[in-house]
Amino acid sequence: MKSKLLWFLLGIGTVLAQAQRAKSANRVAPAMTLQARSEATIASFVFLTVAGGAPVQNAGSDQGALNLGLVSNTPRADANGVQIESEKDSFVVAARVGLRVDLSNPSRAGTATVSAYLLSPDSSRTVSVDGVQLLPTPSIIARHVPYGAITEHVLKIVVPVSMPAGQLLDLIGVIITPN
Amino acid sequence: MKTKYLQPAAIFTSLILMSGMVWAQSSSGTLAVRAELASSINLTLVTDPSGVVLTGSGTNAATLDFGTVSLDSTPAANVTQTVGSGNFMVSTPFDVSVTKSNVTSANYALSAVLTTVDGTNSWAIDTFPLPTSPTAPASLTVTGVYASNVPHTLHLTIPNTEGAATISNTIDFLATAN
Repeated sequence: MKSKLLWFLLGIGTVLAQAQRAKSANRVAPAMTLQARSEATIASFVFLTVAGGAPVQNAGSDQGALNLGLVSNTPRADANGVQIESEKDSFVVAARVGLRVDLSNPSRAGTATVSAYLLSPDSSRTVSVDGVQLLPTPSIIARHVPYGAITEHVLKIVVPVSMPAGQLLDLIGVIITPN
Repeated sequence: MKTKYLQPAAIFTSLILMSGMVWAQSSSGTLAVRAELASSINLTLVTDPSGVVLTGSGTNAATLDFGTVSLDSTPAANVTQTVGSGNFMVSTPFDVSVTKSNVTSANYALSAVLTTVDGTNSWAIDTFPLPTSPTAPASLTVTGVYASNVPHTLHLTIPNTEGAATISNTIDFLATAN
């Protein structure tokens, strides 16, 4: 009699446990939907040539190339979107570039923070964007960049006159963080 | 009972937070910036402390005005007048500054040439008579010191027989890195 009662209670317990699992599964389902919506709003960005700015070539998603051409310590107001200004022991090469941050779900409004850093820092010269000197670690250059809008940014490279002539290459890493 | 409601609420909240974390996911990329750095030297003409004030001093296109000169009158400030045999000469110092950028060079060579033929007057810098282009420029120095105001003196010799007139010319300077 006792064993029959035990088997009965065990059966009841199993049924309740299965029902609980089914309930839990029902509750998890909306969570899967939420996750799917979030994945559809990942940010991306593209470098652009702005009017009167330096020509930017896109080399795939989130990748750009800016060729400043021939530069020397000879001041010039503007040549192909590149300005040069002489200083005492250096000269500054300046160029404007465009940036557009997009969302894969364009109906979502909001802003993003743009950070930049140097992937291959060269101590002989300094690179800045919008007045912020770039370092090997990310620095914020814009805090509230709206999605879908093209924002202009000023890139400046300070070249010392003591630096030997040759190729200059600076790799600037850009990080977009949705706000 | 409270526990039963709290558990789904906690799960839901954590899922919301998880979805927020995915929403804040960063995106990164790279901008490659290239340039060809070229060597350069810059020449500027500068007013000498003992010379006539140059209009456009500190640039590479300056004007030097001796003022009104004649055999018998007193020259303008910082202009030296020397009377010769059948002519007189007015002189004034001016400075040349040459700077170098992104080049390995110990010193520079400087030369000068008149751009317009002057069949009446004679022009010279320091001790070197100036030819007229396209004749090769006169060499003023081959060991110019960079980034310093090097004084030179411009001499204009005018024959006594020349009538009153405005005398003008343009001198081209050429600095070459050694």
